[in-house]
Amino acid sequence: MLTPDKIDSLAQQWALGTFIVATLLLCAAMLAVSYYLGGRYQGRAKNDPFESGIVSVGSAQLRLSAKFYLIGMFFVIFDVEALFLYAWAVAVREVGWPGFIEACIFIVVLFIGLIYIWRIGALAWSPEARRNKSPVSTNNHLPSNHANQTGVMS
Amino acid sequence: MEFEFYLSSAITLFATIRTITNTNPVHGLLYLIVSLIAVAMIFFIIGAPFVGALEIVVYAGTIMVLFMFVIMMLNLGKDVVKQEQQWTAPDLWLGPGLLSLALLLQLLYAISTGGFHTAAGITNIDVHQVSTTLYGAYLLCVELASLLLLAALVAAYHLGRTTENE
Amino acid sequence: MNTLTYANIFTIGIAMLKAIIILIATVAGAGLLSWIERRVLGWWQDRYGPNRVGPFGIFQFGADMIKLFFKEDWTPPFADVFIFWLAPVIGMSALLFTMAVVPITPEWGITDSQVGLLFFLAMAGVAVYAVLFAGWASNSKYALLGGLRSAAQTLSYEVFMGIALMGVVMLANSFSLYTIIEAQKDGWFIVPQFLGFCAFVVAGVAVAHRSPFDLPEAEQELAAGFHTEYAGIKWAMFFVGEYVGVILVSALTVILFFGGWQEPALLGYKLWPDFLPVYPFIWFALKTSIFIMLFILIRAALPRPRYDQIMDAGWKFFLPLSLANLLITAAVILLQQPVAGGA
Repeated sequence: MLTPDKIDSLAQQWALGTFIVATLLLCAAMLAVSYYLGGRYQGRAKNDPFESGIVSVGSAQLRLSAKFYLIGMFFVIFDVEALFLYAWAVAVREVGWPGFIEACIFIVVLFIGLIYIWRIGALAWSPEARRNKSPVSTNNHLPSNHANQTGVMS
Repeated sequence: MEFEFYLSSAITLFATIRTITNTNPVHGLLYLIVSLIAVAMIFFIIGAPFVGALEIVVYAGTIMVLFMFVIMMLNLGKDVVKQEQQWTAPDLWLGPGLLSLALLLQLLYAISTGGFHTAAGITNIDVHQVSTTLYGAYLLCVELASLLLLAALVAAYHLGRTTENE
Repeated sequence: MNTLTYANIFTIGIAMLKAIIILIATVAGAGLLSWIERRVLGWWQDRYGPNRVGPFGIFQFGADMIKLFFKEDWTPPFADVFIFWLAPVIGMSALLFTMAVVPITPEWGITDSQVGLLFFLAMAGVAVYAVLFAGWASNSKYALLGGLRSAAQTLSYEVFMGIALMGVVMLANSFSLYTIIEAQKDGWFIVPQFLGFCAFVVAGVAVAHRSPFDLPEAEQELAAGFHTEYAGIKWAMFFVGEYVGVILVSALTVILFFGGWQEPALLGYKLWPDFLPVYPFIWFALKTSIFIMLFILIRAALPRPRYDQIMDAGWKFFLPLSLANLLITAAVILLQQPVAGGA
């Protein structure tokens, strides 16, 4: 015979499975219904990528800032740090003060890393030129070259 | 339980093979994500939910995102498919493939001759057990991991920086 | 398996039925929320909002749904078809899956996982792919830029979201959301974990891509960001996903910091006299609704910050703050603990 505990866990497993399958079925059904109900129309410029009404120039193969890669990299590192902290958080009472000291060292080491990348400007998002300029100096040349303004969008 | 295990394993194997044979980088990445999630399922099934959850958080949710970032930034798309097809020509993978097969056979032999058999039942590993071991017996490893991460952090910035004035 | 009696099968069947009901209720709630939000925003901005379909316009959601189903299901010829179709499915289902570990009342919940909170973090991580895949598969400039921007922002906020929640885990000594609610019997965690609460709400808004963290969809700069090329039901699925995110983050805020289904209790004092009846579901729904309203109010009240300000706030303010919160919480817990354990 199965114990009530076993039945309970079995029921939970089946419920979880049902939930996941039903969610996916719902998504599939929404896509399928719309696929069959939706109309089909032709338009002259319909198959162009949307660029606010301007005819697209070049492809979408852009060169993108390495900053995004850096954020991805930092995310990996700090997420792995967070993972060690998850493990610590759940057993903070069991491991006591030695564990606390250990976690402190762990956090401090990575905090030093955070301060380092902060200080060398890896987390700064505005371009170097604008960052170093004082607000007064930017105001000075604002009226002179208006065309430049559109060029330095970041 | 056995059925779920074999199902997850089959998905893992299939997805991994498709990861390698796929010529489109994003499709390959998608299969890799599926493969990692299926491995996490195996962890859940054999009674290690903590490891399973962390597998999804770290591999599927973090490292694969970085891969995706790189693919998007390098604009790997339809153009590289042709290049990939050239790379997957048989004369290129046949040598390494055979060597890997030899390793696999050796592994199978080692497993079949014993030494790796454990108790058949599934023991549920509590989250607390993992934590107390990690912050007890393997105290030094955690600290070493932090230093490794620090080194990775610094290296990532200096390798990833392209130009001084962008 | 052969030892299952009819009573057992009945129990399992009921559990499966409940799972389906929770799914339908969540999706319907997300749909209804689209109407509530527009109504409430209209009220705050001194205009009507949708008020034509049914009493107070309550059937607007149904009308929208029908309209969306009959819209052309357009896949751009320049897109990567499979990934293009997959992205909205991930966008809608990833956060919806997390509802599986959310305890609504002691009886209503799909599963009590030992790693419930981690499951949420995992699914929040997987949800990023919806944006990345949509941005990549659309093969359009706005979509690509929006996708990358959105992903970088979400990642920056996910880092400290997990760390901010660990204070709660320390207090409850478990990742299970049921255990966390039980641990708040004598006092909600909002008091000891106020910093964690602040960080989590900010991160939650960012992860659900809600204003003021909706820069990926900043209309002025990027058209509609990652879903620029999406139309019809596929676009609607991203939309439903966003509202599911709102409901989920509100529900989790209630569970983690406001005692879930439990009646108010503060610092060891029960604020709800014992002789009054208790309705777990009413409490849960009431508290969750308050946070959903807060989400909408934030959208109505706050302007959208610049992208670099958002990234700075994440990395330079909230990450150190959550780390500090974690260490302070741990120190307080250990100080309160009797030394007998042998330190």
